Order: sequence, then structure tokens, then C-alpha cells
Amino acid sequence: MRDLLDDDIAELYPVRGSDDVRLARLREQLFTEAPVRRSRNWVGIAAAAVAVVMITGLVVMLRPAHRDAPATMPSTPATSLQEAATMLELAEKPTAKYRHVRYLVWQTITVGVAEAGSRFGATAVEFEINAWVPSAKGEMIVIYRKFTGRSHPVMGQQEPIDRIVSSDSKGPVLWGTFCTTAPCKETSLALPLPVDPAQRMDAASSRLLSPYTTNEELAATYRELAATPGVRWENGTVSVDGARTSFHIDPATGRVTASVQTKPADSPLPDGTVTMTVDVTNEWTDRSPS
Amino acid sequence: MFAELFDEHAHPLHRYLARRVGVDVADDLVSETFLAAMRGKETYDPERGSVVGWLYGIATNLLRGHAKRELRLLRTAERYGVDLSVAESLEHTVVTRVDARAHLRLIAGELARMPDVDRDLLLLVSLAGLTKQEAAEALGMNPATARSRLHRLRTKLKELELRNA
Repeated sequence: MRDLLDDDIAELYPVRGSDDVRLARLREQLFTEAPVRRSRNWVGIAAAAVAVVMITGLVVMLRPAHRDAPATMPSTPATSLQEAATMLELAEKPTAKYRHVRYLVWQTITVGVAEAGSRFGATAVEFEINAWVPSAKGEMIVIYRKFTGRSHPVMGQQEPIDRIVSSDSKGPVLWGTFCTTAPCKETSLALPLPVDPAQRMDAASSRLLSPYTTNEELAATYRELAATPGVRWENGTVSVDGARTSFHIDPATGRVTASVQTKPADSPLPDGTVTMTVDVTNEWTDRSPS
Repeated sequence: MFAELFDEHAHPLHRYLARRVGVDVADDLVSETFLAAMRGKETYDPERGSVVGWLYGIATNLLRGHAKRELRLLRTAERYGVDLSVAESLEHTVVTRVDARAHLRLIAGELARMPDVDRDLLLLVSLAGLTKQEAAEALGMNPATARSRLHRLRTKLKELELRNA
């Protein structure tokens, strides 16, 4: 969230006139081709097209179009939870058959007892969860979970990986709802969030990460968090003092793209140890794995 | 394809650069940035970061050549308690009185004294609106380092503002 410091910096560095004519001429000089029709304001201002010069052999990865939704993207990034909520509420309904949500989860697992003379260690292991949630009623929901095989030491005695992750381990439970067909209601939404700000942030995790939470429900949660004393927004990172969990919301889409969780108070891990990170990507697709 | 890159990024890049060093210099910098990008296209690796981080990284390196200008403007802003556009005009005119804004004095002074990389990090996020990740990519910094560094910078500035409020 922008604060007084950002306002002061903006005041110190005021916006100067950005001349569209100037930029159009610059574009013409650089590329000596007709402006692309769908580009910004200065397109219609540029001089008449000159001979087109093909710039060949260029491989440019433009900033990837957000996979979140193929629908129209708001052009102004959100600068607060409230704006992110509005973004979600106004987002056009996608027409694709499935919403595919992919979670990459690093979970810290401890082995042993932290006592003198005992073996104790912590290892971070990675899981991947893919959920295909259909748009059509009655269609099957498909979820795959797996240990990716990747791990790294966190501290202490390291055990063989097959002692840390069993062969049938599917990773942490990020949301509590179990459904087989669409539509599916995220059950954690039925419970009110705690009053205490830190507990509220932690409790919001299920509904913020669940693939079943609708845009409207997500937006309502954002507004509840925005109204919570002490909740901060810093360029999309939402946090509150004392909470184990923080989230990152993509200011361009309004969607949760990451969460970070630190160790509980009674854990023998050092203070501040991150015990779980979740990276979330959303896409709309007509294909599912089944 | 670079034309599309220009269409998407030139305007905000120009706005950011103009705020830092003035419109005339910003014109040159935008032009040089895209020329450098076209010449150095092989250096862009999408696996390592976003195209925004890459472009602003090029622009930031070019901006370093004009650091003295920005520092001069910041020192003028600190002296008179004005913003940078007024500071720029003060360079060319004799002014008998300006309306000083104390908070601008403070911020300008701190920005003038901090290392270039810290100033760039702070302004890439606050002025240019880059994410911390993109700013880290632009500056060739580890994202975690960028986050903690930015947090430290902002905390220090906010504490100073509070003390002087």
C-alpha cells in the first residue's frame, strides 16, 4: 500500500510532461515503420508511415500475458486490498472450460526431537498440486498432488529423503474442502474469521488459497482483511504483525500468487524460520488431464 | 517485435526517467534504452527474469551517466525545500523567494546522500511502480536482498519523517 513516504517521493519527483508527439517521433526514428494499430495514444499522432523495415531474427519475450484470465485486464495495478477486491469483482467471467490452478509448495519437515543428545533436523521438500476446476455443473474436478523430488536442508541432521517423505505423501492440505464435481463451495468460508488480526490472517489462508473460492468470495475476504487493524499492503504483500502467514497478491490481476508461513510458537525451529511457501499460478484452459 | 515492446513500455519508462532527470534527458535515455535493447537482445534470458526488469536494468545503467545531474537537483531541492521540477528551473533563474516544504528538504537530502543503487531501488519501486522482483532483476540483485534492503531504506526514511514531523 502506498503511504506518506511514497506520497512525499512523488511530490519530490513530480510528473513532467510526457509528450506523445515526441514519443511518436522517437518510435518512428527507432523503427521506421508504421505504428502498430493497437498501441497507445501516440499512434494516431505519428507522421505518415515510411517504408517498413523488417527486424528479423529477434526473439523477444514480452512480459507474459497474465495467465490468470484471458478476459480484459484492468490497466492500473491495484495499490490496496480494496482495489484488488474491486479488480476481482469487475473481472469478466472467463469462457474456458476449466480453471487450472497450480501450487508449488515448499514445506519444512522436522525429524527427531530437539533435545540434547537427540537427532533433530529440518528439511524443506517440494510438492506440486494441480487442480482443474470445471466451469460446467456436474463436471468432474481433477486434482493431482505429488512430491517433486526436490528438497534442501534447512538445519540440523539431514535424514534420507525417503524417511522424510513417505511414498504416499501428497503434501500439505492447503484447503479443507473435498469435492468431486463442480460447483464446489469452499467450506472455510462458512466460518467467520477470528477477530484477532494475526489469527484472522492465518485463518484466511484456506479461503485465499482454495481453488473453489470465487472471485466474489475472494474479494469479500480482501475487504475483511483491509478493515482489520494493522493489516499492511506493500506492493501486493499483505501481512500483519504476529501472524504466521502472509500473502502476495498480484497487483495486476488481484489474485493471490504466493503465501509464506513461518514456524509456530511452540516449534523448536529458530524464530522466523519459514515453514511453508506456496506459489500459485492460475490459467483458464479448455483442456484437463483426464 | 521491439516496436510492440516500445508501445507497451516506452511511455511509463519515459515518465519515470523524466521525473528523475527531466524531459529532455529522458528522451535520450528512452531512445538509448531501446537501441541498447535491440543491440543486446541476446543478453535477455526470459528464464532469469521479466522483460520489464531487463529494460529498466538497461535504463538504470544509462541513468547512472546522469547521476550528477540528479544529485545536483536533489541538493537544490534540499537547500530550498522544493521539488525537482522547481529545482531545475532554479538552476536557470535568480529566485528571491521560494515556498519551502520541509519534508521535501528531508527526503531530497537523504536521497542525495544514499548510494546510487539504494536510490535506484527505492525509486524503481516507489516511482516507476516496479515490483520488488522486477526491481531486483533490473539491478541484478538477489530478490531477498532487494526486499530487505528496501525495507531498511523505507523504515529509515519513515523514522526520519516522523522525528521531523
